[in-house]
Amino acid sequence: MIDHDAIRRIVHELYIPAIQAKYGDEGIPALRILLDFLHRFFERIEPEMLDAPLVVLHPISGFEDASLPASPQFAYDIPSLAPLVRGPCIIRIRERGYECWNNGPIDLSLLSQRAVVYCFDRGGERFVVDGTDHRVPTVDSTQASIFARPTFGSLREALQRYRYRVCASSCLLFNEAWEDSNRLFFRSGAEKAMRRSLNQYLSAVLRDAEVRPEQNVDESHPVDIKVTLTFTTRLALIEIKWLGKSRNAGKITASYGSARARSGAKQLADYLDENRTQAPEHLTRGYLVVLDGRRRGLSAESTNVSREDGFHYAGTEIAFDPEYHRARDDFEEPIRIFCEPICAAT
Amino acid sequence: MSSPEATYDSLFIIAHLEASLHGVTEGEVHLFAYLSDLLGLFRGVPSAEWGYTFMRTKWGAPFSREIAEALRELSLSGHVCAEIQDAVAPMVPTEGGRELLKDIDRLELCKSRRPFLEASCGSAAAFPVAAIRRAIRSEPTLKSASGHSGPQELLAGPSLGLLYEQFGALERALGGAPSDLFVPSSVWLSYLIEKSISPEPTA
Repeated sequence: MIDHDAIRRIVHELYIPAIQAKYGDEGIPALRILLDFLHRFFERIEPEMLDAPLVVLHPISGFEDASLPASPQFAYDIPSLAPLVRGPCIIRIRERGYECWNNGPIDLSLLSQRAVVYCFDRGGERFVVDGTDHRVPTVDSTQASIFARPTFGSLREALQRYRYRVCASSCLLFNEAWEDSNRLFFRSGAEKAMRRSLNQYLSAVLRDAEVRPEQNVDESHPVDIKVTLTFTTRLALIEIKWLGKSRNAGKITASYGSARARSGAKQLADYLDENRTQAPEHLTRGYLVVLDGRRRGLSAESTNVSREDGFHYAGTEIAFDPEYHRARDDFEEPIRIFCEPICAAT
Repeated sequence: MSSPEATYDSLFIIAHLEASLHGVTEGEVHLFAYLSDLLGLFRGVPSAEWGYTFMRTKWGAPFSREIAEALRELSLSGHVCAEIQDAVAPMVPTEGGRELLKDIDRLELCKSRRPFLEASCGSAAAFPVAAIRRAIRSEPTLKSASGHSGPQELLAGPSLGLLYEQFGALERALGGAPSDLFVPSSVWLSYLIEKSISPEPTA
C-alpha cells in the first residue's frame, strides 16, 4: 500500500527538492559540492566533537559577498581548515579553498536567498532554503550526522570505536539504559537498550555484513548479537555484559562486579562450542563486550558522585580466569568500555 | 564472459564511489547497480533491457550473477584491485581500469546508462550506505521476494505493479519529472527508509 501523504510530506520537507525548486539547475550541483565537503570535513572532525553551531554555505550566482562578515580566515584545504573551527563557525566553500568566520550569529535567511546553506548543531542538522528550515532525515540515532561515515572492515576495530560513543553517552539509544541523568545507575533491564544501541551502530558501520539481535545458537540460547559477513563464510557472536548497579523506584535491583564479566566469557565460550556443532561450515569468532558502569560507594539514595569515586574503576581491567582469548583461537580479547558518569563539581 | 553492461556498471560504480567510501565492496557494487536499474525503470527503461538481472539473496540484498562475474574478470584483468581489510575487500580501479572506463564511456550503450548510474552513486552523498541498503530492502519487488525460501528473480512478477505505482505517486508529488534524477531518487529513498522504520499503515 502506498502512503501518498508520506511521499507528499517528504517532497515538501526534504532539503533536496527544496534546493532544486529554489535554485533551479544551479542548486543540485552546488549541493553535491557541499555534501562532498561535509563527508571529507567530518572525516577530519567528528560531529560529536563539535560543541557549537556550524554553518556551511556554497554560494550560487548572484550571491552578495556583503551578506557575510568581513575579514575571514582562509584555508586552502580541509586539513588546514580544521584547526580554524573553534566555537560557532561559518564556512564558505570557494572554488579553491575555504573561508572561515568564528564570530557568532549570522542572518541565515538572507544568506539562503543565493546560497545552499547547511547548519549543524548538537540538536540536529538542517538546510535553510529561502529562509525556511528543511530537514535532513534521521536514519540512525547512533550517529550525530547523517553525513559522517565511519565504516569499518574489521569488527574489532568497529567495537573499539563504539567505546567513544558510549563512554561519553553520545548515543541516544544507549542513553535509554541510564536510570538517572548523572549516569550513576543503569535501569532495570538496561541490556535491551544496550543491545539496540550496539546493533544499530554495527548495522551502520560494518560493510557487507548482516547484523541481527538475539539470534539463537541452539534451541533456547540467544546470543546478544550475531554478525554474518555476507560474502564470506565468517560469523561473529557478540555477548554484552554490563557491570555496575541498576535502580528502580529508589531501590537497587541488581549489582554486578567483575564476576559477571567472567560468567559472560564462559557463556560466550559455550555458545561458540554450540555454534560449531550447529554451523560447522562457518568460521565463527566470539566477542565479549563489557559495559562497565561501576562507581565506588553508591547507595540506593545516591544522586551524585565525586570524580574520584565516579572514575574509580575507569582504569581497572578485569582479570579473566580462564583466559579464553589466550586459550582458544576463536575468542577475541574481551573489550571493556568504561561508561563515564557526570560527576559533582568539586 | 560477463555482460558488457555489467562490466561498465561495475567499473563506473567503483570509480565513482571509491573516494567517498574508501574503496567499494562487492555488496556495495550489487546494491548501487540495482538502484541504477530501479532508476532506469523510473525513467521508463524496462528491466528486460537493462542487460543483466538480479536475484534476492537470503539476506534480503540484491545480487547479480553478471555483476559478480564482471568483478571477477575486472580483477583478473588488473582493472580493479582489492585491499583486504579483515572481513571485506574494498575495490579501487587501477590506472588501467580508469583508462578502460574513459574509453568505454564514449560508447552509446554506456552514455544511455550514465544518468542512472550517476544518480545512484549520488545517493551515497545524501544517505549512509547502510540506510540505502535498508531502503532497498523495503522496495516492493525485493520485499515481496522475501516470502520465498529460494533465490527469487527481482523486478519481475506482480510486485512490479506496486513499484510502478510508487513511481507514479512520486512523479505526481514532484509535479512532473525533475531534470536531475538525484531529486526523485532521494525522495524515494527517504520514503523507503521511513517505511522501513515505521510499520505500514493499516487500510
